[in-house]
Amino acid sequence: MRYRWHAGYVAWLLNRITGILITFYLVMHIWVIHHLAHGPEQYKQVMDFLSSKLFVFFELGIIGVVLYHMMNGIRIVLVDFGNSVTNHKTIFWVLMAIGVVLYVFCAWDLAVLFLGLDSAAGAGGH
Amino acid sequence: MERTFRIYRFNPEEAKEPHYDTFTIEVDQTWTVLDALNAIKWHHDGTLAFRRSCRHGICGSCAVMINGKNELACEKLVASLKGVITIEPLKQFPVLRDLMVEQEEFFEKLRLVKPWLINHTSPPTDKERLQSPEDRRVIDGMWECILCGACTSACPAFWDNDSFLGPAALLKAFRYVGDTRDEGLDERVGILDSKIGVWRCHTIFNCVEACPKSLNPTDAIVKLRKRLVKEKL
Repeated sequence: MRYRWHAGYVAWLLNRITGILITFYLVMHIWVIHHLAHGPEQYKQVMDFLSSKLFVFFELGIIGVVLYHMMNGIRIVLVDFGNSVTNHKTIFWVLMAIGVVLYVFCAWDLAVLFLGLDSAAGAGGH
Repeated sequence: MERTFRIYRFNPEEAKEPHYDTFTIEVDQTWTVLDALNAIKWHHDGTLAFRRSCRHGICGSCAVMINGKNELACEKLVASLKGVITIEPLKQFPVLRDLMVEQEEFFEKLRLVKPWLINHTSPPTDKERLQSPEDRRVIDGMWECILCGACTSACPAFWDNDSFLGPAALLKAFRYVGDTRDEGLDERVGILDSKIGVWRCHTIFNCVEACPKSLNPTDAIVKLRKRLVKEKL
């Protein structure tokens, strides 16, 4: 069931979806890390598998997911504890704009890696 | 001019599923949706059921969903709507018949927040209980609610759990909790701080979008939360 599309509803819906995705990511992350207990060989195998382009693409996604959840979380705090109930839509769009800038900053290196532009510079780091 | 109305019809005593009837009628430029509903009932189909009373946007009886938006039928001009006009009952409330919904529980929840002045001291004998203009302004936007149910019907927290008090009752609760003459927070805190109280709101703001009086129930809920936290600290 749905009422009408508006910033408040979209913000809440995306917060739920990103929350579920982050939970899923955390479980995956713990699963990956637990391979450390099985020795360096097994861990390397898993890490090699995760270095594929598909997983770099997923990582580009998870940065966006976490950033959205974080920025909207700030909005919710401002609504609940600040005096932002009447201008929550403006705050939403301002925080989303800041989120886009942060995304570019955070995802730049990964995007370079994903697009294969790093080979010339010989940079890795991931 | 001629306009077409697509109206939700449901008689639980006769049918299992609702259906829509379409009426194309002659309307005047000045007509509201309520005028059109009256014309349909009086001249086309006398079995159409809907609530109306004051015709002036103050009784809250005629709240319905018009083209997907909760509105007061008596305030919405037909001329302001484009194309076929779809009229449906408020969401989530059980439909009694056609556009009429069951609102007994809605009003029961209102009673739970004790929407009246609670004061344990006797009023002055020579004048009213006075407020400063600043104190009075605190409840601006809180006392104007006409209890039409449009906000509660649009609230996802209410769809999820229909025992939630809902934005209308909570707006009314702050109208009194925020009133400097009221001393009844102790009597209301039990219900406001309960599982069906203020904490069930997810600040989705559907209530604000839905209110035909442009009120802000979320503002009231957030203020109630702050007040409860302050009391606990």
